[in-house]
Amino acid sequence: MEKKLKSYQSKNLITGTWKAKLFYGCVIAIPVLQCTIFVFIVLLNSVFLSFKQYDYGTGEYIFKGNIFQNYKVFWSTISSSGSSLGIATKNSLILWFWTSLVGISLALFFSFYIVKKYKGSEFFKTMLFLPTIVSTIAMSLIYRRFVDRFLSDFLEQYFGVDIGTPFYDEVKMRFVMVVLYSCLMGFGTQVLMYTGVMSRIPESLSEYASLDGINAFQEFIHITLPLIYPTISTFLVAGIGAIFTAHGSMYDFYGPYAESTIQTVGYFLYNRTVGDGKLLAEYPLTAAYGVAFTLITVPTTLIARWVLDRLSPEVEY
Amino acid sequence: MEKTVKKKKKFSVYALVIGIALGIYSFVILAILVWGFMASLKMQDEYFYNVMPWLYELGIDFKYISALTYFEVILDGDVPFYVYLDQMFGNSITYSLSCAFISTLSPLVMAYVTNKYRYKISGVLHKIVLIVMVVPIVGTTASTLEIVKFLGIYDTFIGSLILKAGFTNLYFLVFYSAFQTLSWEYAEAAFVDGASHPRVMFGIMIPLIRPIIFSVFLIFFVTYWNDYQTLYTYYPSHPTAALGLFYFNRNTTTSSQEPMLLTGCLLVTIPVIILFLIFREKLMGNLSMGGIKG
Repeated sequence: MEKKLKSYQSKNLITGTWKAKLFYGCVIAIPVLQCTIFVFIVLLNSVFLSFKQYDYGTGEYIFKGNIFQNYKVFWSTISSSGSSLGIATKNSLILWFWTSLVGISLALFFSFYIVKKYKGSEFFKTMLFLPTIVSTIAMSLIYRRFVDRFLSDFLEQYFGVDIGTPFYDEVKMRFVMVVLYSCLMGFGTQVLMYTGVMSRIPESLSEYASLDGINAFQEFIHITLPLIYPTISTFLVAGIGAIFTAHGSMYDFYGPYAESTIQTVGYFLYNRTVGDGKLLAEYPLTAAYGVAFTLITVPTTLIARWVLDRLSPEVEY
Repeated sequence: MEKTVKKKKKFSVYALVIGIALGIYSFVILAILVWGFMASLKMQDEYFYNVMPWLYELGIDFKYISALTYFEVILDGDVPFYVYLDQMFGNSITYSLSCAFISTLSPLVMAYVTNKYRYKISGVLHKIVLIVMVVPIVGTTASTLEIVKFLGIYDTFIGSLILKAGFTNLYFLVFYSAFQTLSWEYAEAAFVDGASHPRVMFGIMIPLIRPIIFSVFLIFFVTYWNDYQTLYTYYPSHPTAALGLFYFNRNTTTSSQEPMLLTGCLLVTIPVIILFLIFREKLMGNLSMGGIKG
């Protein structure tokens, strides 16, 4: 038996036989085809589409006239002050700042509290994760009514404070409410990741630190953060990559009717493409917007990754 | 000594400040859900002028059973047609189960073969996953829609399954690292006994990481249960409960239907909360396990 086993191993049974190759081919065929079509061909098609125009006669997308026309429109739109795309870009950056930078900071504080097993940590962990599993559309619909109807009436009735209906009345307030909601609901996954990594830090480090007289906050800043730096950096990079795709639940709140002054790029592009009565003629320009934002995001993400890698503290555990 | 450390933890200013912040956070989340439930019990007329959850002047209207038939959305077709909440729940179950299955299976088998069958293409596929995950692509929905329509799978069940059969995601890496820790000796012993390649994969190796597979399946199930944008984009005429909520909200112009809308919201939420309570460790544990360290 042992001899037979050795002979199998020496013949490299796994890669050597036609049966193995056939099996391998059969297993990867469908996933690879799916990936080829819905990642690479979609991307290529998006690039081609961005150079085309819609032909109203045939109903097809064709190369016509100046193939850079859509990019010219992109540039003139984004560079003109007060354009909806310019505002959407600014809003995307604001949303990213709050959900990514402020959100990550708070998630780190919360995670440390949970890992240290302070009072109620298991309950808080569950509460932080709860919004992640509840349907975003259900949660956002309740949240909107909670703020507009209940909170508004409650504050006026019992404290004489008139906040109006923030999701409805004041345009500026609408964006604030969307950002606030995105921050509130976005802790779940991050906290799970951070607590997972923080819990792997040896207990002895914390004990030594306590003996040296450092308090919890100092331990968090000087020991925990440097040790989990790679995870933080991964989240920061992922956040940068998602700047122009994030909707911030805006579609949940407003459907296709969000005011142009509160739209983000993710919402703006999605809303130009999907929904009743969306014009097929707009697709090439939307594709050009997408490609242009990808061209901005890819190098930014790579540079951010490079910078964050450089800043990585030299620590091991 | 240990006692001293514990004492310090207890009276830490950090713990006090963050504990208060977490307490407020938890209160807000619970308040939103509890208010949603209390307001859903109001009569429609009362909801207009009184949304305080502790006042029921016109009595309690428990809509959680009747909503299954009264919560409806009208959809455009050759002939406009109604879809009721019970049908939407049926769609939710079918869609979430089948898509979760395909979304789990695809990265699972790909992770297995790329990890255990050391062809050159395995390395290429692994790198493709990493690249696709790292490189952010913006605004390809128009292009995807065009291709989906070109392939004739727009607004079809099979189309929604195909779209979910991708493997270039985080769970490929989760499965890949799980297979990496598995000894290949089990497989070799089975090959010696005459087992085939599919038998070794499905009968021996995959069952060894069953807990991880189940966690990933659960996460996908909850994700697809809650997802409405993918369906709205590619499969709009078969609304799940989540998509039904979106349609209902979009089509409701007055607040007369709001208690019913809130009832719908809670009804969509209840199954995942039950699932969460039963499989809390599985749902929260897997992500911790997948915690990225670089």
